[in-house]
Amino acid sequence: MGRRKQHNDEMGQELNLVPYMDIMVNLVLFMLVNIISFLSFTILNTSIPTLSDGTSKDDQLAVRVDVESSSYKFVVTQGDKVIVNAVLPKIAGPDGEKIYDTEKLLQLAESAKEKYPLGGQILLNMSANVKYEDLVSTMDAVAETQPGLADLFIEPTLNILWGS
Amino acid sequence: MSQQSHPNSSSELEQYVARKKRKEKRAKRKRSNDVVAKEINLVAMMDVLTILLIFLLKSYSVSALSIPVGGTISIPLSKQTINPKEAVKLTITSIKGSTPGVIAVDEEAIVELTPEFLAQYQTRLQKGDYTIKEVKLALEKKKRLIKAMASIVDDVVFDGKIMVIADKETPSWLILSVLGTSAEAEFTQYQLAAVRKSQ
Repeated sequence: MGRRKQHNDEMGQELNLVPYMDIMVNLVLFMLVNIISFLSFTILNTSIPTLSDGTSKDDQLAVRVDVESSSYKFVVTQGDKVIVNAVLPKIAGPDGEKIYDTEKLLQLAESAKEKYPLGGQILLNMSANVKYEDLVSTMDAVAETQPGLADLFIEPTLNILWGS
Repeated sequence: MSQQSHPNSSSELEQYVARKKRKEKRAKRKRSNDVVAKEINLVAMMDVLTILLIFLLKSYSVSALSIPVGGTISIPLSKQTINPKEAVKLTITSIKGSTPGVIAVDEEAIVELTPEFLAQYQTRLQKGDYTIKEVKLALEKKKRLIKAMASIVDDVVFDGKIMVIADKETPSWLILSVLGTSAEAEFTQYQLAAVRKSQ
């Protein structure tokens, strides 16, 4: 009788969930405060120039963007011959400040890619004091693509342009 | 009424006692039901908390990006949709704040970006020397650590990946300098971190 009563008592006892709840609430709060993945991050793959073995072909097509302090210069070359050379000066932004014309740059990149058999590589010559923000927006502009279309220039190589 | 409240015969008394007992039992049962109803049902809350915790733990482990060093940093926006991959993190905090920014490798601040330091290295870069000595040493140390781990643990591989998390005001020459220094320490797979622009 006594054992059955004891067994019934045990069954009837509720689990004390309060300490468990304490831990869970603290853990959730801690993670919510610490976690930053709600700001979803992305990455831009890039490279820097490497030493060439000097075997590049003379008639090879190459595309580059010179990001100068006041303009973009979009250049397509074939060996020593310049095929496209367009200068895109900064335009007035929504706040009145001068910003780089990324839309025009995208148009130029698209038309060059349509006209010439260019690969995914592009050289970005950055003026030394151009901000990282502008570097990212330039890389975005030349890599941007419409859904369903082939990628534009997704392999940018960064270089520094002194004195501009 | 008066008979009920003051029973006279013994049978009436028995009935009265039985009624009273029934009443008491009913009242007791009602009281215990009330107590049960007043208790909060924690099970539903536990369910929610557990699911939330699992979601957060998963997000925490998936996110390869965290900015552990002090100092202000404002990361630029990008339209790219590539997910960050696990890599050694090289952080450059704002050089425009009241306190000088820092270059940090993972969680360790390596160099303080004072105006003198910036002027000195900009001049050196102009002459073709892009190596930031302190950063190179820290990265080489990191490389040795990863390679030592790779020799013990099968899953760890040294793939030369480095993620640059820089403030949006950082000048390009400093970014290039840092990338060049990383290349010298055999970190040649560069990832520039940005905040994904909502479409």
